[in-house]
Amino acid sequence: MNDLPRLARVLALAGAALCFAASASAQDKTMTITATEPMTTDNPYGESSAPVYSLWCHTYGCLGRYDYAAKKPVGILVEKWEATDPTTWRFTLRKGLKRHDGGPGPTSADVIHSLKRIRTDPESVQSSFLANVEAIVPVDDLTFDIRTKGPAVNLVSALFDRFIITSADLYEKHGREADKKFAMGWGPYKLEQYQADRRAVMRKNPEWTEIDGSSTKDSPDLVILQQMREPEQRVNALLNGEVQMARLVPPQLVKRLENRPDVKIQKTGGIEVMFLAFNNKMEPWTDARLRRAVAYAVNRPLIIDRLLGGYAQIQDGIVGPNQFCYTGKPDRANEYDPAKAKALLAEAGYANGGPEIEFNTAVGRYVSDRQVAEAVAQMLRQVGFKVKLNTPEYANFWADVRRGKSPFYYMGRGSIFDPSDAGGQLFGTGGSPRVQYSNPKFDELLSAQYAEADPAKRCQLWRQLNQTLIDDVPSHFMWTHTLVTGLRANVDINVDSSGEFWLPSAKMK
Amino acid sequence: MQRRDFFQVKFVVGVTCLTLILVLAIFGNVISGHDATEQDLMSSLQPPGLDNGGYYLGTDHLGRDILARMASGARVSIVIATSIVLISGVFGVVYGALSGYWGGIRDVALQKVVETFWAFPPILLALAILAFFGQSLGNIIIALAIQRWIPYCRIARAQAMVLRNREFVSASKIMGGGTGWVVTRHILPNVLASAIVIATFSMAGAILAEASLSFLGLGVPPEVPTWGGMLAEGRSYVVGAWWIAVFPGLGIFFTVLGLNLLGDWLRDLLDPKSALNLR
Repeated sequence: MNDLPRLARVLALAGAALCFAASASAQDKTMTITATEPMTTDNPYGESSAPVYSLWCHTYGCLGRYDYAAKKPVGILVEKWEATDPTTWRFTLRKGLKRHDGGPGPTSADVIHSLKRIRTDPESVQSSFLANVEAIVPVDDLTFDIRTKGPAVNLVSALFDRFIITSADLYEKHGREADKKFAMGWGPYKLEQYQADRRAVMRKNPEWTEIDGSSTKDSPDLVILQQMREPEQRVNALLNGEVQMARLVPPQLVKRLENRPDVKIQKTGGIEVMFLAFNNKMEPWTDARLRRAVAYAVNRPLIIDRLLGGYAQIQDGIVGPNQFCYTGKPDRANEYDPAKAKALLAEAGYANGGPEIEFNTAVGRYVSDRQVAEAVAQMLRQVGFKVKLNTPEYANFWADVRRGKSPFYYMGRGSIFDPSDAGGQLFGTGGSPRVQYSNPKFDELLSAQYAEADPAKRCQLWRQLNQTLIDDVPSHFMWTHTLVTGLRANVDINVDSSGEFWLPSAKMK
Repeated sequence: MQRRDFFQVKFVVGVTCLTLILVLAIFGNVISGHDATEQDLMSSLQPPGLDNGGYYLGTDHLGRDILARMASGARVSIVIATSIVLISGVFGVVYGALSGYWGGIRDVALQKVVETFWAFPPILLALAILAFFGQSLGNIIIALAIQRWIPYCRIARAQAMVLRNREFVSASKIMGGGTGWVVTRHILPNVLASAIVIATFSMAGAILAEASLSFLGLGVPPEVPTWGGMLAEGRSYVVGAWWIAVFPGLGIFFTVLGLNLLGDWLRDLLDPKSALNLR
């Protein structure tokens, strides 16, 4: 009985503490954002997709990012960069940054460590964007040179938004555990929680200052990336206020967001190029006539109009209107012409139908992907192809594509602003095994544009490269989606053409 | 209400529901005049009506006729459910009858296998099988049948354990009847009534399970129309084009309702004691 007053005091104190905690968290501006991409590992080098790069750029920090509104690259961890000769770029890291645990700012040693880890960590899948990098050489603590194997005028756009810098010191002490228990970087947000394929929670780094000195006081204090693959779930969560930002709203659900005073819609012309990819070394796609027949058989305007609600722009080749080096419509394009498709099939020996082909698509990864694939399959059947449509789980689909095991598939390639990186990766000889295309003329032009410092001349080279891809049809390019993002009315954030955003410049009332 | 009347209501409603579904499965495509997989993007999202180009139940986002797809979905559901019930029923009854009739160590061993299968969550097991072996009609039947034989097995075993000590079974054995003879002549005929009742409920469960797997995109191949697949496709359009999801939903509802009512009626008819116990 004598313990009762003490118990009451303890309870009262606990209650007060809880109230304080509750009031403190109530003052936090929390923004929950839907995530649609797989987030399977806390290893910052273990996945390669634009949203995952964006997460780690916000927390660990990356060299820089492309500001689509200002149409120029902007530093995140670096403040200066310049080409010192055709195969060397010099970067200078920002001064005065502190690691989230109060440790020192990023140094050249951290950049070298990050390159090494990307190339040697068995879980890393990011080495392709560094393929042209020969070495990183420190000049001093804050300055380093990146030497490339050949001329690389596109190096900045290849590295920015991608090259995540992690602490050499923490990795040396803790190894792989550093990603789990000491995920400390220098970015504008500090990672608080990472649950694979569920959520990532980030808290604003109070030490962070934007490189141009702009204020971040209105940006959200706490950001939650919440995995929501189903578009209906994303839209419902936005409408009931569970999330503040619903990404990739498909056309058929846009109506639900219209005329709602508590919700607004942002539409952005995307740079994720959607295409029908052939494995050019697998039968029957070694025959260019069959690839061309596919291009003629698919009625892209009809699919955009009836299935995508007009929320897409036709893309001829790898360079489209939202991208760097777009110089207007190509001289020739593969427009819908089923008669030509049938003639090509007949010429290839399939006058009586065929060939039998397997067509793979992801489901739920891209806007209306399954519906698009079903429409494409039907159009191919109408000209004579015998199509078997497969809808494997995304993980299986992606694994097959990456290993070059998928003969014919519908997918997208994100973040193609400067086409060099994706162009080389997908269509250059010896690039990724996804398409397995090899054309000496294309390779020669590709090398030439890497060395061309004059943007106008470089873009003319890209015009020729683009035309080569259209004529040879190693893949048939379809469109870029108009990205529709649903936002709560109290949120201002600019979703850029890559589908990503920069949280420090977001505003939450 | 008199007990007999109640039985008749169940019977009449159950049979009516199932007859309607059978008529849809057999004559649906003839009535609609369209192919279930034929696309016409220019006619996408047409609402139901009598004067919209013969699309009486409307069209989906790819301009495919909902009525034709309903008919095709009904056939798929019936084929899958019937196959599952036949495979799991025959296997489960024979397995259970042998296990119960033999008894002893053989019964224990056979029941350990049952318990192992029983331990897997059914949908998870089906998902694993389909993810591993791929999507096909045969694989979905195997994936769903692999656990559905257990209720038959349990009932058959219980009845066999009772029957094996009855005089007519002993007499048959004394007269030289082997295991095969006794089980087929004396055990299985006595298990049949219970198995039929289980089969009707199991058929309803199989239809729901197939619809669930198709809804998750792991049922039959994507271009084979199924009610579950239609539901999954229709949910994104439910605000502007309700008919894509509502009609397959009604198809599933009436089929399952019909089978459950018929199962209830059969149970009351074949096993009046359990019906009285329920009251």
